[in-house]
Amino acid sequence: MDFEKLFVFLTIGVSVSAIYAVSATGLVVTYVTSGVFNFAHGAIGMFLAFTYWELSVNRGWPVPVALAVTLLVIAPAIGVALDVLVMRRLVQGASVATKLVVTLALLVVFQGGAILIWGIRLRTLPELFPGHDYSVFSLVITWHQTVTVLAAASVAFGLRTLFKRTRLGVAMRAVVDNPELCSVKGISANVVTATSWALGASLAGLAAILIAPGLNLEVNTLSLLVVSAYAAAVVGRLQSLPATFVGALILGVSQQLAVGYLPTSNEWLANLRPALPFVLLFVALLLRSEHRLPERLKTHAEPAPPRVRTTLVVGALVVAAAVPVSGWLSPSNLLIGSRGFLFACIVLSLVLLTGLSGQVSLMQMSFVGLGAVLAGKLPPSFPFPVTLAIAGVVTGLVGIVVALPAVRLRGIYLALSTLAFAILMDNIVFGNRNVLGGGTTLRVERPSLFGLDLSSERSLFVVLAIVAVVFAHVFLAVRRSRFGRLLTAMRDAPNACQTLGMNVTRAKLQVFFLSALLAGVAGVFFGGLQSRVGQLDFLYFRSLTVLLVATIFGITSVSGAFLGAAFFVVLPELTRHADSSGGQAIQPLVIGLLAIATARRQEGVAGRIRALLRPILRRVPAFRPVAGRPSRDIDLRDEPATVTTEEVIPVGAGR
Amino acid sequence: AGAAGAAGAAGGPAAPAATACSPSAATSPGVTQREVKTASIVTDSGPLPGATEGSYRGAAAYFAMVNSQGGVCGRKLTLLKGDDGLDPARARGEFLRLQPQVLGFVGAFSVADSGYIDLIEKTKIPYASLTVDPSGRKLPTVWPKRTEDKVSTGPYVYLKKEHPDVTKTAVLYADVGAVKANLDGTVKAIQKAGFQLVEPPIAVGVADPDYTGTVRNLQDKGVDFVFIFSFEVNMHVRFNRNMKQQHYEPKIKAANIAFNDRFSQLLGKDGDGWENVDAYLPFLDPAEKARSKAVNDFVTWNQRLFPGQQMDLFNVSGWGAAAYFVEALQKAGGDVNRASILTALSQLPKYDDGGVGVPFDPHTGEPTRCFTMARHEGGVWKRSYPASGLECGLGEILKYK
Repeated sequence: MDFEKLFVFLTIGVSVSAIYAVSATGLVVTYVTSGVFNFAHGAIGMFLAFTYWELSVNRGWPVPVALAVTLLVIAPAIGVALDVLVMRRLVQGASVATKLVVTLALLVVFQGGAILIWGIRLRTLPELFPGHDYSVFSLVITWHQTVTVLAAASVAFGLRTLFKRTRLGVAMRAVVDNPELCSVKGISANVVTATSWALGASLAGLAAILIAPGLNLEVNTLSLLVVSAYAAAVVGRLQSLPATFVGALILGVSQQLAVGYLPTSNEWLANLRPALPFVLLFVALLLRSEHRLPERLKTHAEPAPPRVRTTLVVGALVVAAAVPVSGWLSPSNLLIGSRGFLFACIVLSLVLLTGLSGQVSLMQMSFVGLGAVLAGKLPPSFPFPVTLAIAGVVTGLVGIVVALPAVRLRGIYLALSTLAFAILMDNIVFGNRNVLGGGTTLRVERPSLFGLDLSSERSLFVVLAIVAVVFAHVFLAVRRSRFGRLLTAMRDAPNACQTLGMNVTRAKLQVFFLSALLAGVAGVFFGGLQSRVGQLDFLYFRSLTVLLVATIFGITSVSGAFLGAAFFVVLPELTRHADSSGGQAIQPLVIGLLAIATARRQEGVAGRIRALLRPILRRVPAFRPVAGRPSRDIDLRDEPATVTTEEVIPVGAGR
Repeated sequence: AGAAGAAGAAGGPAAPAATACSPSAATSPGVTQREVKTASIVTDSGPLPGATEGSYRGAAAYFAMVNSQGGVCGRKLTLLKGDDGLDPARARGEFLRLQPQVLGFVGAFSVADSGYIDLIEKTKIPYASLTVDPSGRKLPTVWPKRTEDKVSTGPYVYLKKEHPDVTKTAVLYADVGAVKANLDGTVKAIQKAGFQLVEPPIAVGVADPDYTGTVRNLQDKGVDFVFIFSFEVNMHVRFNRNMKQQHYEPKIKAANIAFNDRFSQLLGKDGDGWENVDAYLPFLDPAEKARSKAVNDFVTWNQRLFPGQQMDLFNVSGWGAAAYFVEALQKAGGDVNRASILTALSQLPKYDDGGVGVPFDPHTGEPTRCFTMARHEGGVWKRSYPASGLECGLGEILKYK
């Protein structure tokens, strides 16, 4: 064994670990002090690193002054502003999905803002103490790297002391658990949460400023590097700073040992190496023991499902309208429409999983991709319904594989496990030439269905309209069913369901299967619509966009899915004529700000529109309430009830 | 040394003279008696905003130059822009939107072009540009053709001649699909030139926080020729920084890297010593403007139309495609339609990026043996070989699949 080589790679691993540790520590601090897993943490850091560059490089301020102003003035100001303007209003007491969406929205807002201010040009950020280094054996280590390691250790140790030994630290943690009790004790929850967010923003800035000299200043890379650090944070159970530090060490060292020792000759293994942080994330999530603490969950304020007759009428109208409309639209507009219907299908598959059953998925586009790839791989001689069935069922089974470990997880941990899966599929499946037949994309034949040739944009448009309507009916049928009610109950009170003898595990597996199956079926049409599919189509952040759009327009309803899909395909058309950095920033800013504006309303924009239309719809027979049925089913209230349940934890029920 | 003058490099006029002919009535989309409309679909928004917008700018600059001389056959040339947002689905929509309005596509260049490859085939529209998706490169209406299975060993033979003692080689590549698809040829050419890979090509994650481990691996294996294959300059810059930090100085550091001036801007003199194996240096070395009118026109018109822009290989690609398309328009004469343009495109004997690139046969799509080398010295790229024109006498065309 070459011990020098081992030492060298361990040392490099420690250095890389420090980068992950600083990032993950900030995440954990924010989570501990606010209860929010901040997906925007990296983006806030990126924004602050650009700010530091602006001051120190572009404006020539001395480094210590620029550093102090960035980390001690601007970062806390951003943190306090986020708390006052966004978090306090939207996040306190909100569901995991809402919290997740708000931070995802902040991520794209900060990215859009950075592009708006600094453009897209790559920049370098000088190291601290440039030109200073020393050698350990034959490995050269810079002062900057050393400072990063020391900063990571100091931050972890210092924060642990803060939380364990100081009144402020204890108050920070206490406010998350019970703000009302804290106020009784004379602790101002507002002051404490503002301090927490200020601290979190400063740590994000510190991490980015330490990382940026190695990575260079680039909006996407800096914003998303923190995703690799999630594993470290999960090892620390999002609570323990020392354990997070250990997680970062495991992550950094294992990654470097893979560089030093993993063979490069095998493409599967070569693809696995960059995916290592997400393998570790997944393993860390699996090994995490589930704490079944009493939960305080907010149910979705949602309208009752429309009656079967109503949905049949609306569905028939949509399909009937699609036929003549398809004759009026140009091929490009037909494609926009087809993409809209398809996106509605994808969103509906997510609405079933997240909106109805509360299982947050960040990998819906991976299921779509799997369906598309399977369609490309299956022999063209197969009848299309057979291809559709095989692709759907196989994707559904993969959904079960994802769900098997995930049944132990809930909330943010479930979301992270699906994110890890999505990134693994990006690297190992969609980026693999063996899967894609040796090229970068895979050909998927356009289907012919029951003798109907779908090679024209017009026929595909009509068929996709039908498919979208079928998806909507499937979703509504599930919602009306006993199974749908079980899913809703599972979403709102999983522990209570188990206590009442319901098989929550089986329900989770079933809903994952069904959601993945629907996404896989949508994927077959996706492949047919585009003719070629590749890694670019199913990158993990596209799944985040699906979730954001679904949330803006209503994560609980069919109308939300259709409106969201329309918005998604029309927005690029509306911003077409905007050029320059401003134009490039518009889309993320619009999506992000809309998501923040609507995050707290589970019914989203669709809910508002329904409320506005209710007086009119009451006059239409098909939409009129059925006599003798409870009004809850028809939900004619202007403001649907928002029910807060304290989960029932019966005494002696296994506790 | 077998040097031969390239069209542009020899100093000949790059811009076509206004042609005397009478434009006939319009018989094709995008054509009137006063105007020819074309389009370019590039990546302007999305995850990599502005990534290939240079392609549009380059083509627009060439059209502006031609228009300043009266256009082609009295017709002004117009270029519409499509933005694929790095999303193949959107690329497809843009194709469908623009296709009915234009005579052809010019200078479209994006990894999202996989979204409309089948539509090029179906609509039979003239497509004067290289498709990034290899499946589009042999379609009948796509010009120039490009083979996917042949590569020139010339630049690597040159490097071997310069460094006969160097054998131990490592090829690193960015772990993204488009890079992997084009990797095999380069690897085979390097091996054919006499270099030995110490291990199979090494995938490097573009978002890896540190490349020191990989650098250390190469040091331990005694690698003295490092080749980096990536379309993103950030990887080169970061790798160079880690190499410097470890005082690792292989005898040859080469890459397809001089496709914009970011490398020089980001590294300055720290980037000295890198060799560039692509032919996209003309606009980076100010001395080239004096050597070639074509290069001078390229730089002048690109800056005139889009002042302050950062030019890159996509500008060259767009400029070259536009020059090729204009040549076809001239050949088609007054009666311009899709069929006549396709006929004209199929008869053009040479593709040379409007005089700023290396000429090759657009029919066979085979790579040329001609090349130039550039070296990063004093913080900027400078032509290192040959002194002028192109080297066409070294190496061979290697079939590698």
